[in-house]
Amino acid sequence: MNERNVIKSAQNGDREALRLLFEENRQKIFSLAYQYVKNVEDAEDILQETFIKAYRSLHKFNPQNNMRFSPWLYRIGINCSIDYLRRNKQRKMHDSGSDGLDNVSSGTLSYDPEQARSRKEIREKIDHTLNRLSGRQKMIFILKHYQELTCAEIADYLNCSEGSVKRQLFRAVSVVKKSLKGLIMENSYEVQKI
Amino acid sequence: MKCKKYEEKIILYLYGELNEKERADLLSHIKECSGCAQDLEYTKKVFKALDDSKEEEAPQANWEKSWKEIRSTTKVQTREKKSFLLTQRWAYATAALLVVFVLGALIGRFWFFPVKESPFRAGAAPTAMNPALIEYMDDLKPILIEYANYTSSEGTEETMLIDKDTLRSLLVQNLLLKDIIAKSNPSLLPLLDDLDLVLKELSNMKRGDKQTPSMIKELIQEREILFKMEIFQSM
Repeated sequence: MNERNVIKSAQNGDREALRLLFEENRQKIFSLAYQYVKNVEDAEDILQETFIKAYRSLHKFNPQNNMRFSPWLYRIGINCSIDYLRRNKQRKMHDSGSDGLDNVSSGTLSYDPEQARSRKEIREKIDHTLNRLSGRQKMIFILKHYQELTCAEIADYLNCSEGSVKRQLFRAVSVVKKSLKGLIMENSYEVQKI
Repeated sequence: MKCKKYEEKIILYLYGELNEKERADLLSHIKECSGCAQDLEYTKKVFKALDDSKEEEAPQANWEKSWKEIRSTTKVQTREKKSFLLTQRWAYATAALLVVFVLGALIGRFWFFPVKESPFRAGAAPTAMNPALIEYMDDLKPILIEYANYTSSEGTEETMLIDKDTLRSLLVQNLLLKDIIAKSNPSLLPLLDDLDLVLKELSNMKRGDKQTPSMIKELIQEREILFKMEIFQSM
């Protein structure tokens, strides 16, 4: 069954079709939400909100307009994440985010305990800095840096101009650069030659 | 000292967001500007730190738990929709039963206990009719008073002429009121007939006509039209 038929079935109330559509996209949405809130429980809440919102507006989705389901759902996920963070701004996101930081794979990190501590410090600093950005700026940064979307794609998802995305990305990275100033100088990072 | 102009370009360059021309421009600038070259090196380190902080893979979502939640929420909605439909159906059934009951009660009331006409109500203007009749008489009264006080003098007739549209409207209203009142309050019909006569005389009155105003004055006095109107309005 192709995607169009699955969507049609889901629109007609077929629960299995709905599950299939959601299951195909769940990890992508969850990963975005997790990078955004750095907390498994909150990311799961965002995932649920995204799917419930998508279910409620499924009747508006028209695959005939060359619209693809995955980007449509992803857009809802982005907006749900921004809304979620806005609603829970009072909560210290990075405090609850320790579960993510402690579970970081050590593949790219040194086993030297001193260096590991220093890198942990940098990670915490980055998370803290990202939490100081506006919800939209943080989302642009995550979509660009972690989800590796192009500025044009981000502009499309956020319904704004590419220039605006570039400006906000520049501001977000500038804040991160500034906040890491002292820490980076003390650590030697191998960088590629251009 | 880094250059403001290239600050943003360095970041966009590392993200691969510059076109060929912009890229070439930045690279040639960096060869000459030590401040921007330093900024590029530092930004690369920041990017490396950011990459290191990135988890290789986000944890897996507990899909079964999430789906259970989503399923229960969407299920509740479906049930709510159904119950709403059921409520609507019940509302229609209740309304239909109510209509049948009210109709039955009314038919039974008039079939078994016919309404006796109250002696007080006989001859009285029905309450529902009063506003229309009162309004009609209020419109007519000033005209009739003017004609009742008519004295023949030079040019008076000119000022007493009523425009044809007003008269036509008053005649139509009279006709409609007569039709309605004939069933509910026939005692008012003679008064409406008199008013109809006066209005027709007024409609036929020509410019410079000195006889008709006097004739109308007599008609109003003879038939005691204003007096009857007063009585009606005080009821």
